[in-house]
Amino acid sequence: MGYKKNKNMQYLEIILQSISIIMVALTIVFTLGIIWRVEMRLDLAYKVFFCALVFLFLSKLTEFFVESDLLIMIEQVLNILFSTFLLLGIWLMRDLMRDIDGEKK
Amino acid sequence: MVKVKGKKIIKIFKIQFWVTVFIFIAYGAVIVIGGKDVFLSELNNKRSVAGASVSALIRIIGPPKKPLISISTACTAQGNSYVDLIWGSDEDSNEYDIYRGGEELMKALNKSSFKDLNVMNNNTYSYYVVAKGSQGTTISDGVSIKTGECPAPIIPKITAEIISGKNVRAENISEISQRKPFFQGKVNIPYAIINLEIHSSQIIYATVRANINGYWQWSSPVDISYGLHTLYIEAIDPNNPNIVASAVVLFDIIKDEEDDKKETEKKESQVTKFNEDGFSSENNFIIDSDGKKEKNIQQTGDRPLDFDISLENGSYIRGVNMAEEAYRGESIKATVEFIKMILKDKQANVSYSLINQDNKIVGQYFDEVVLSDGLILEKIISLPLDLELGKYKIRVSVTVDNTTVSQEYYFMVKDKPILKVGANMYISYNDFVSNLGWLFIFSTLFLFVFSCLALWEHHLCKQSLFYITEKFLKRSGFIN
Repeated sequence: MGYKKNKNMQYLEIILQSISIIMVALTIVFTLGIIWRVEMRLDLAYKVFFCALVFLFLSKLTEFFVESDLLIMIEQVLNILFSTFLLLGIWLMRDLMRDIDGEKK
Repeated sequence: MVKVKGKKIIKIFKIQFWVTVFIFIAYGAVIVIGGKDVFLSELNNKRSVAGASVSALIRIIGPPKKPLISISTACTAQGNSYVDLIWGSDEDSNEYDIYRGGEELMKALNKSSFKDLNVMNNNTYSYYVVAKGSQGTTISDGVSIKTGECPAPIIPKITAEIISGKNVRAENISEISQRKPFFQGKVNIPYAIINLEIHSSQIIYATVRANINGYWQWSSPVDISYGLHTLYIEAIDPNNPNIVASAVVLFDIIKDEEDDKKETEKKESQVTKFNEDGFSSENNFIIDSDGKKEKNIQQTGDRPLDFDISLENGSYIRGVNMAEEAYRGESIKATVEFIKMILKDKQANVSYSLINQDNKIVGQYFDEVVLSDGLILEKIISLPLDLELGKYKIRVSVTVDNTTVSQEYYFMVKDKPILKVGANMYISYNDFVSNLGWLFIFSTLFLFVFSCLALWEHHLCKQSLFYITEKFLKRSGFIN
């Protein structure tokens, strides 16, 4: 029949899943707060981080749906988009830091 | 300082790079000059040398080590206790003597374990082991254990209680008018495999499974001719094929009560008298002390053909057990694999019946095939969207000449899940719609809370004096 988890484990998994998605939602709100407080390249970098977090949030939402081939593909695409935007954001910040500390001059 | 360190590191990397290039060039030269075989043998040599190790071991034979005994007790299938003794083997020991209660139990044993079957329930026994070797003997510490109370083995029994709505009557043949009689009964073995046979002008073989309560039911897949028939029933424990129970039921299919009364009276005088259970006094089961079955009743005969059924669901949902579940609105594929075939090259009629838990046929498919070795049949059976949820079974019946063999496969019909909460809770579309109100409230609450948070954050931003830029960060010393 397969491995059956007991009720406590099931509830724990639901709680952990909910905590994870709530924390990502909070991160999105606080990233918006940073975007509203900064300008120029800092603003651009955090907007890219914001996009990455939105894709992460959508990827977490797909966990609530029963897995099918299409959904697995969508989840993978969202994960790739999250990774891409996260990398882009980190790249922009790194570029900014290199500009400021005189490496590029 | 950083720049000087960097130069040295770069120099080391450069040297390493050129050394590596030189090694590759050298190997390339070996391949060109010596050929591929030389290169491969060179690589093999390196690998075998790298893996080889030479060791010399000198062992001094000494007296045997003291055996450390691990003792346990358990029950046999026949309800008797036994004691298991295990101790570590030792190269200095040639044989072992076992003592129980200070007296010899076994001598010159050449293995490091022993099973004492000569014990009684609820008794305490003490043992020690003497290890004997070429350099002397060593006695282990004594160990003792109390054997437990072993439950008496369950004597298997199978009964047929109802035939086509009529109770099985003691001291009489059951008279029914249904030509596809429906049998129900009990067996005291959960999930027992029930083999059924009807011997008459039509020979019918069938296999069904009892449920956890030992309840079984079966209805004939084909019409049985009028007259007296014998149903042989055999129940096998799925965990122990040696545990078998058998029974025989005689039943008479009559056309009309008035016409057949005289015939029935004739037949009754010829039939063996029944005991109180309503069965022939021949029905019996025995399990001897070695666990072998003995029967003094006519056994169910060898089937001329036999097959296995497997079901495959149309949808794949990761993490959901597919073996006994199907979703309405979708189709399932029944695969019939013949594992025994005596009647080869004969035309057979195959029927696939979808039967609900009230034993009503809700769907039926028919096929004609020619039997051959290794024959595998596949049938797609669609489950309508309005099919009631619950337990169903697929009955596959193969009829060749006057012989019918049928098997059943049980599964549950459920609604297809669309949502998954946690790792093991699935919500179907119907459940989702029926709880839409709660989901709407929860989602709205979630959005409301986070909208409030975002508004609060925006409100705090409005109180700032200026925007932060990278130039400001550098000026303020946040960036070095």
